[in-house]
Amino acid sequence: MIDLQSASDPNLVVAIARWHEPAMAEAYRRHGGAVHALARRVLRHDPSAEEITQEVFLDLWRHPEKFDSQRGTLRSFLLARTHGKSVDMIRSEESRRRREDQTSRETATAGYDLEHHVWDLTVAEQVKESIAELPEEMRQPIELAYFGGHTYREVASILHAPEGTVKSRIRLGLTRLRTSLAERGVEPAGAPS
Amino acid sequence: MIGSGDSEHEEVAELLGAYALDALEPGEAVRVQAHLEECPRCSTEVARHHEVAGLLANSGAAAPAELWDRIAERLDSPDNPVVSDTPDWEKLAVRLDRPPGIPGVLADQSDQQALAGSASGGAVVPMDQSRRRSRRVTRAVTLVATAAAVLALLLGVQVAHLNSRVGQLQSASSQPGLSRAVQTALEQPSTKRVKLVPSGGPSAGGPTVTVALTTSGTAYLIPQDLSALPSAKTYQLWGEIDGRMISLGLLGPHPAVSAFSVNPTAPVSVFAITAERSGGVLQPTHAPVVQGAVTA
Repeated sequence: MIDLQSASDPNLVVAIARWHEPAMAEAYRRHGGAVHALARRVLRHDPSAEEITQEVFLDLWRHPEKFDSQRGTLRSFLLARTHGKSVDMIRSEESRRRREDQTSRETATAGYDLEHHVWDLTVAEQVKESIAELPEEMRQPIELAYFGGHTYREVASILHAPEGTVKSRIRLGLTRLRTSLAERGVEPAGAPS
Repeated sequence: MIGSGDSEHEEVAELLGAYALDALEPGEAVRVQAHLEECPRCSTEVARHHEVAGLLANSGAAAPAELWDRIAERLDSPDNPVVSDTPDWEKLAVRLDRPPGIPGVLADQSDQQALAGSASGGAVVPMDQSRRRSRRVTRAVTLVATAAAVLALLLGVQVAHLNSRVGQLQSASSQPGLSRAVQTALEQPSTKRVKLVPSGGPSAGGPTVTVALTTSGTAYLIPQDLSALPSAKTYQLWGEIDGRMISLGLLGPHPAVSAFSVNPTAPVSVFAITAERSGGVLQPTHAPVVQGAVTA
């Protein structure tokens, strides 16, 4: 029997692939909070966030082979799937009507939400510093796209900026963040070098 | 209009940041996905963007406990569709940077594999090496045999350990896989039920293990209220065959419903379970936690 609490994430996924429910519980213990928090942040609807959280972990149970430790951490894998499912949900018709009322508020507070949602015992400060260094014209599109669930076209409309400019700023902003974090010694585990 | 060659690559590259943040229209996302399948450089960039996004989303919030209960209920739910695609264990092992073959979950039992291999020179009880999905195939984790279990193999006994909750088994009659197989077996009048209890007799809340023996030789072990052991120990199943105690396999420190086979020509007269050191032993070193005789 493996010592679950000290097992690496890849080892947990190996155990999950062998239908090991305690390993699944350990994966949920480690990452369920982050998954749920991101879903809540994007969806702003607790029942939907709970549904997404369940689906993300059930997907892991049914298809553990989709996780590739060579491409990134289990946390980033789960969060990417969480975000994708959350965005799919909010782009449904009824969700879009709810969100339209919040768009103007998002624009006003976009610059601050990124910092408020990043907290981790070991990397919080470095991440905050990197975000603070990011020009606002890069930070806002990332915030609106990632936490607001908007397409880059919608972001361009919200910010009254050209679509090509928004695409570039999102891409460049993410690249700058990675460089800045690396300079601060924050290297996502398992990320390709 | 889609460009060709380098221009196509550059057009798609501009979309990679938005793609990583799920900020593309569906058609654009499909275009990028198709490109990523052929462009390692762009795939790497997307992976990096995902990692950064993960850091932005990272939070130290505790996982909601009530949510786990709902997830756990659905892990073996009949509502979960059984998918037809079967993950290739070898591919998964490589991608998870694990050696192919017996996974790390059996690491504690590797020494008894060595025991088995050196004692007999023969094959260890084969583990289920791949994750098979079928409405008829039960889910199996592994029990690695000791040298004594290799001997049991020669007597025609194999052990496969199937992971499932006793509670779910007892409460549901429509669960797929193992649960259904056990239910079916228990419904057969010809199935023999052997009750394993502590030497002092059964007691309220005390451990009980039922072994259901079918006429085909398939047997099911159903534990109830067996206390969990420390990770350095394991429960071990024994069968008395022709006056000798033969190890039938390891149940781990948290036994679940298990299926195994017995040779009808070498019937087991007594089943017993002891608590042993992780990795198992050749002969019981402790008095049985529970035991029961097979009546005619």
